[in-house]
Amino acid sequence: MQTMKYYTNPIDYYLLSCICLLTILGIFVLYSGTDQNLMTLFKQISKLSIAFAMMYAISHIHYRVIDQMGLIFFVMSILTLLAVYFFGSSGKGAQRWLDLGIIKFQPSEIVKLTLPLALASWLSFRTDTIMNHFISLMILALPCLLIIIQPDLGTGILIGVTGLLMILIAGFPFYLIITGITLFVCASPIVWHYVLHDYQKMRIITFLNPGLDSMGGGYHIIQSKIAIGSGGLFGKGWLNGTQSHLSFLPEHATDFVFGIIGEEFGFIGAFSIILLIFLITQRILNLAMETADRYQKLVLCGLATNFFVCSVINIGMVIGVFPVVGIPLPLISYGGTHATILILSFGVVFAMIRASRSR
Amino acid sequence: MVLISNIHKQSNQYIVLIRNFFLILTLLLMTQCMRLQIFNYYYFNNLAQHNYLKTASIPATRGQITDRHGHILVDNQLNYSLKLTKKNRALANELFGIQSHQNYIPITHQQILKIKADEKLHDQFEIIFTKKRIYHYGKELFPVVGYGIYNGDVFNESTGIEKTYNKILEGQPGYLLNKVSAKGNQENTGKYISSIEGNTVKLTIDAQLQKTAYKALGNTKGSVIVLDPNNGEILALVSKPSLDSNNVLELYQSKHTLNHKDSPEFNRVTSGLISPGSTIKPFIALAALDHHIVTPNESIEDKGYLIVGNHKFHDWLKEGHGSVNLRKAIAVSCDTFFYVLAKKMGINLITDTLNEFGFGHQTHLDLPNESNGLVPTPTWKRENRASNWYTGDTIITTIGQGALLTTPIQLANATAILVNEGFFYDPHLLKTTVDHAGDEYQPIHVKKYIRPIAHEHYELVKRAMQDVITKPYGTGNYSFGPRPYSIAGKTGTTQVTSHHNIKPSGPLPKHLENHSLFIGFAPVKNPKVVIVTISENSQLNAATVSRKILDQYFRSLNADNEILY
Repeated sequence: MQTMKYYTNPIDYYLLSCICLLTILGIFVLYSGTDQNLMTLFKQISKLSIAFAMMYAISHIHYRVIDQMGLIFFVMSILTLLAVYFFGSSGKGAQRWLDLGIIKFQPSEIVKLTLPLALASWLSFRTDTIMNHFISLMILALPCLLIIIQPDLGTGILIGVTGLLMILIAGFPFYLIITGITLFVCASPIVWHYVLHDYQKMRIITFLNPGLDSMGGGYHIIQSKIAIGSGGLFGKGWLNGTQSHLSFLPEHATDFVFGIIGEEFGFIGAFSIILLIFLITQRILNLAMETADRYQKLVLCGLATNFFVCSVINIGMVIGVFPVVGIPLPLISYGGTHATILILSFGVVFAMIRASRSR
Repeated sequence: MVLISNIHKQSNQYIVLIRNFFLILTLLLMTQCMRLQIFNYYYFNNLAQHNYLKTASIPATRGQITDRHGHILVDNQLNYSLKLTKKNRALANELFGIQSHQNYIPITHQQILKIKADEKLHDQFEIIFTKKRIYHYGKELFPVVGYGIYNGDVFNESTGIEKTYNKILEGQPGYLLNKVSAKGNQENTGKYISSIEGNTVKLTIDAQLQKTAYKALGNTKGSVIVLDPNNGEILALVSKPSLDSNNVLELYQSKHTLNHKDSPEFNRVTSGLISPGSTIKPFIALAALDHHIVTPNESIEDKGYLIVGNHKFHDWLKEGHGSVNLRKAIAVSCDTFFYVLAKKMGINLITDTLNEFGFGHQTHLDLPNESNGLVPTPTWKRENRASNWYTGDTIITTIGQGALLTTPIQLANATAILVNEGFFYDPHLLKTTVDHAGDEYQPIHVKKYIRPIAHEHYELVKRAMQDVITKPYGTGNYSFGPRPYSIAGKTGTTQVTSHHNIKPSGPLPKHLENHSLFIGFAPVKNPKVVIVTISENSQLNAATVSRKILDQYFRSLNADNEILY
């Protein structure tokens, strides 16, 4: 009976409909974003369809299985990250891609799913000792550093923020937080002044604020702000964006796709997308508060944070409040790996919900 | 269990904290969107439009120029042109012998074929449509319409009506709105503001009469003006030598000689300063009558000279004209009579009257570069020649010699005043302008008056001028035989030799031959035209030239069954 009930439990339709709505809106935006290239769009739709099928499958996996498999996948993802370091192919000046012949993917995207799972397993298992807290940080730091040296600062920060919030939620001693902040504050000027060379400092500054130095970054931001601002309240209408279709808005199918939303659908469109993203996040966080299981709670929080922070960094970058880092807009930007991983992570979310409701 | 629930509680507190933090981030993003899209919409929308909308100008068609009857004098034509750049200029010179500083050079069909046949050449040269201004009476009307050259779509006007009425002719360019992508690809949006065609300028010129006048002067340097005294309209205006307005290259070669006296670009009618010679005598006579210096019946005995101080002033007729009164003095152009008048009048009365008749002032003719002329005064002589004014100066002024200088147009205008007995209209070439809708606009010309002079004085001078033609002793008599219209006039001859202090011996060199002048009006009652003809350094008699022109004028009028007497 117990088993039967477990499998027949309804999934969270509120969350599912929000996700589907965002995905469908994303397809329409992407049709405009790919400059009405149907082939590209079909590719993306087929990838999304496969991902949704996998999501459905994953949502039926028992959470304990996920718990155990998580560690294995984490180790594997770390290995692929190392593989990228040694054999990866370059794209736009950074080694991010791993070509396996049949499929080509970005291991850093996979870490977005495997790290929260692995961290949740560890955090729900560990006891409250300083050594264990140190291990938690190590688990986080290893993939973070590997991604940052690719270099992919955006994803690195994203994973770092997600992991830190999970560690915080799992219960991190207050004194350790204070110590950590103090150490960071004290050490950074010493490192800055006595350890780093000038060119390294310069590199960090431009890394943190590309608009300051590079003409390219500045141009991107100016054009995307013009795109969004010129949309006005109601936008210029679907497929009527001048900034995007006349190629003034760069990368308007991938990282700067939010520019199209702002330009063609106006403030109403931009507001709706941000609202949907917030609703999805809030729903997952609310579900995390409902569940009593520590692992489920941590996984839900981790994946929600991952989704939300990714969205915020991307939108913030496009509307000019954050510096330009190469992060896609979840569920909307063109690209196979990140969309698939995100939808799979929603599958995990549904699995957790199913588990928590079966109690 | 308690511990677990504590941790559970603590975790949920963190989750709430994170949730609220996420809410703040969401609101931050929404606020920024609102700031960009609602508060700064106009700013960014403007920037976006600047990004992609570029305007391209649509040149306006330049207006035509027609004569008074609507015959097209100046028109536009589309041509093939070669676009010359720094790169292909040398090659163009080598292939076609084109040497020019212009950016667009008209080419023939053969040259186009040559370029099209060779792929290398085809890449080097760009052949484009260009506009060309076509002057149908290029040579005859050069001093009137002037000329201009298209450089691409830009028309560079330089003289004549093309310059004076450029604003009326040029029209308003339109604008085409183009979409431009970041890569620079242009695409027509279909939105445009159409150009407004330039207005047609209808001149007062009569093309046929102009042609006749141009022919009548032959190869002689000189000028002809035919003016309607009733409204100031100029029917014909010739200045020779002339250029062909169509012949751009020739124009450019002569460019540096602009305003030089022998340059074909030099418009003698407006800028050519000449001594009026005996043609000034009717005006001097009017001045004398008006100031009661002389009465119509008063006569003198002309012995062929007048001695003033220790200088002997000769008449053009060595043996003298015998007994002459004013009327005869004009008819035979008796110099001695006017020497006597000069002595009695003094220079001030003469200059006053001459100034009233417009001598020494621009006539406000609608052509550029008009000269002032010169009516000499004692003050002028002191300032410019550092010399005192002598009676001798007054004497030679009365026969239109000395420092007195006038332009042909001034002479025509003064004659019109005389004909009208005191009023005139500024001589002009613009009759009406016709806009693209076909509406005609006529400029208003003010009837101007000079100080009134008694009618009988005018009448006497006019009769004397008629005697010039009709009386056997009249100086213009032999030039005008029997003719179907009445005419009055005054001949004049200016001696170039006297200026150069060369005694004539044998045949004179061309540039030292006398100038022959004629002013006249016809018919005598209710004159329709005033004519001024000047033939420079030539045996060609100005009166004969005038006669040919007037014959043609009245012949064409007769065709319209108009009454001539």
